[in-house]
Amino acid sequence: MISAEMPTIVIAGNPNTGKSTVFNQLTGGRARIGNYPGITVERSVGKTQLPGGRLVQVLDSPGTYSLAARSADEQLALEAVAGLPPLPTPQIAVITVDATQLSRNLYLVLQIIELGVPVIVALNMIDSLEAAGQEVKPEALEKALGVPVVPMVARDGRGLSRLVSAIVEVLDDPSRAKPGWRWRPESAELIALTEQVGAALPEAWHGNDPDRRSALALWALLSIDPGHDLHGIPGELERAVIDGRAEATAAGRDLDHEIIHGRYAWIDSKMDRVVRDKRHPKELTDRVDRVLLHPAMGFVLFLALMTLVFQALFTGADPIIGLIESAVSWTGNVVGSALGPGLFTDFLVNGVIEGVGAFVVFLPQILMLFFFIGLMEDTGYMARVAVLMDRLMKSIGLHGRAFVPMLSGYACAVPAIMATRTMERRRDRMLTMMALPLMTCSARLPVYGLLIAAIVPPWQEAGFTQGLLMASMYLFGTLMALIVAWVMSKTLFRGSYIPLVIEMPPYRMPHWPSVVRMMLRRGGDFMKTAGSIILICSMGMWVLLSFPKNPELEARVIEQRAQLEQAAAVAQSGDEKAQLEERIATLEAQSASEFTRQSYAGRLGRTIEPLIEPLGFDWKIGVGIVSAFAAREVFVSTMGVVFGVGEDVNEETMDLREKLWSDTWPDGRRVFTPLVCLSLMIFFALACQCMSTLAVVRRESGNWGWPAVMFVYMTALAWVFSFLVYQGGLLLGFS
Amino acid sequence: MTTLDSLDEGAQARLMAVEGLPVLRRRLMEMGLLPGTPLRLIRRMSLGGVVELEVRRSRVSIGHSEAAQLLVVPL
Repeated sequence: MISAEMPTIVIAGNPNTGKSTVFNQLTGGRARIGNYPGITVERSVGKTQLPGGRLVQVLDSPGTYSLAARSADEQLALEAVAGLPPLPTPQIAVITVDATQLSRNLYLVLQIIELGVPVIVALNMIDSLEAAGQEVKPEALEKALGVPVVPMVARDGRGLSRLVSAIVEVLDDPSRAKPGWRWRPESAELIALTEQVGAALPEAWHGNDPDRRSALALWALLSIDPGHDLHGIPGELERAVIDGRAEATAAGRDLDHEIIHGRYAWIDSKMDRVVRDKRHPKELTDRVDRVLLHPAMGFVLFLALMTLVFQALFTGADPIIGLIESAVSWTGNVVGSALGPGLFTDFLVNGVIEGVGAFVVFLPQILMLFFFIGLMEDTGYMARVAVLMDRLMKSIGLHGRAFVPMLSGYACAVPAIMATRTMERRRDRMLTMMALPLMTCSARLPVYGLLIAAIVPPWQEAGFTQGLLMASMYLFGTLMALIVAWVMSKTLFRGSYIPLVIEMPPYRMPHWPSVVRMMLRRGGDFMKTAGSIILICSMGMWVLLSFPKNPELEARVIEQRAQLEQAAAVAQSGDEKAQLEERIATLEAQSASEFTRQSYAGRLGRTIEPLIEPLGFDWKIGVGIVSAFAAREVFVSTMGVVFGVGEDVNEETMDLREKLWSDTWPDGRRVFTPLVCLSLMIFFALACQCMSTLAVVRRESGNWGWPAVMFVYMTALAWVFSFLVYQGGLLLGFS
Repeated sequence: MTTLDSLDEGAQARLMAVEGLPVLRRRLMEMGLLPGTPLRLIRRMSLGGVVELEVRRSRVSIGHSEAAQLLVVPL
């Protein structure tokens, strides 16, 4: 996917400096998204034609404050910027810099200049300088650094054409972007140490360029610790660094301070000429923060905002989802009646059209959630959320920013998992993603509704029982999600300790076009990548439920149906006609039930019966569980089909409730006892019965390993808890 | 000399030393929190468990436990 011949431009920068905006504008949004080799960190590569006809590839790199790395993920920034094998050596590094946070951004710029990579500084967000109470002189910065500096407001495209011409100029003459100087350590001891460590570096990294070798040696000194999580570090290099650091410490020297302080001393010496403070800095931000970060009011306002978002996701999206569902079934009907009955029609209607519907249905919630997230990010409020929620979330091992995705999980795990992108660290993202599907999503509601109705006999007034049961299921799901997050943070995601440092950008008015653009991009992204997986799974489910064919059964049904229709056609009274039509409906429902029983899904349900019997489930529930993998709410309609009530049922349908009530084991015991229903609800609360969730986790994590882990742990958890509830209940004498 | 987390809101101080694990020290120093740097405590949020500071013209929030590792002299 990355070409070795085409000139490469790598985009680097601190987090939240508009890196991906610049990337998208340079590539026109036509990026190929893949993963960095060996590690599952998203990598975007795009091609673009520059004025003059030259074709270049643009590579995005992970946002970071420093090239120094503590993990293999963080190491990527160095590999992409320096072009360590197998990545191509970039012709230019475009570094996006937040003009309002210049000193800290320049620390990264300095490191990249040290590597000898030609650098263009995209001095972004110059429109926020006023609010930040600063004035920055781009020409002075250009002079101080010795590389081109392009002032920009990337989100509305200001400065983009100047950036493109700077790129063309540097490609023609790379010396324009290579300053004659680079920061070097001054003390003789540190120079000797970098040479010592440099000698242990692989030649493929530095290509015998002494300056690059010294820069990489400094990187190694700040990155390699005993027991590090980096990858591809030769043992020789590791020993050289650890020995060198030990010697320095023994001599009473502080290497970290020497190197980092050296770079900042250089930056500080230039800042007076580049930045000027104005009189009333950050006044607006301070006033707003006095309210939004107020110990009491801040929380109340945040919770009110979250209620609004949650309400919008939960109920606001409903009418649109309803519209999509009717559009899907309308299309299915039109196609079905145009083509006439047959296997191909069935495949088109129930496999393909339903499958497309299965993922389009997620769009309203995804768009809504990302609209809110976009607003929160763009105004600077998201950083405050992290600050407000940090202590609470940290107590269960999660990042402060995990609050919004976790809460969105109550509506639907699919957009919520996509929302984990607001966290920078992969560890935080993956941990949130893994625990989140345990939150009670809206697809579990119809299932709980049906089962709670089955616990309470249809003819009995129940008082508060139903509401209490429903509330307990929500509480159970939430507690399990928090417990799982805590356990995973102590085991699977223990990792190294990374201190909490959150940037607090000044507030600004949202830039609506970029909020909308990001919302649409997320939606499109979902349709393209997760959508295709969901479509394939839907077609797979269709095969399981439609095969093997049973010509005998079909012939019998067609014959009986024809007889009944004939009789209905000549029926004398309306009563008689209605009676016959009812018999046709019953015939269809019963044949569907019979057909489902002998389909692959039905057989699968029977096959797993021994596995689920200890949970109190019979094979019919097994079929429901198998089909609910398409989506949890499908359980209800599958139960309708299996019990011969027809497909158009919901949790309120009396027929279905009565059928459940009277369903028995071969020995006459009732199947849907209150205890079994409870066990089944626990199962649905915990089991990973959602192919769309797995598809999105696959998309966000970059491989099938994480969805596999998720499926296995959730299913195991579901089985164990249902087992405990059912068998424990039996022991205690419940039924 | 005192620790950063014990400063009052609005107080200015000079950072004297960064203590704690090497990983923490390095990260904080790379973010510009170096000994000798002047800073100002903007706000302490005991409920959120963080303090917000202004350092080198930018605002950052750090956890209370991190702030306790920063030794400062009030100005």
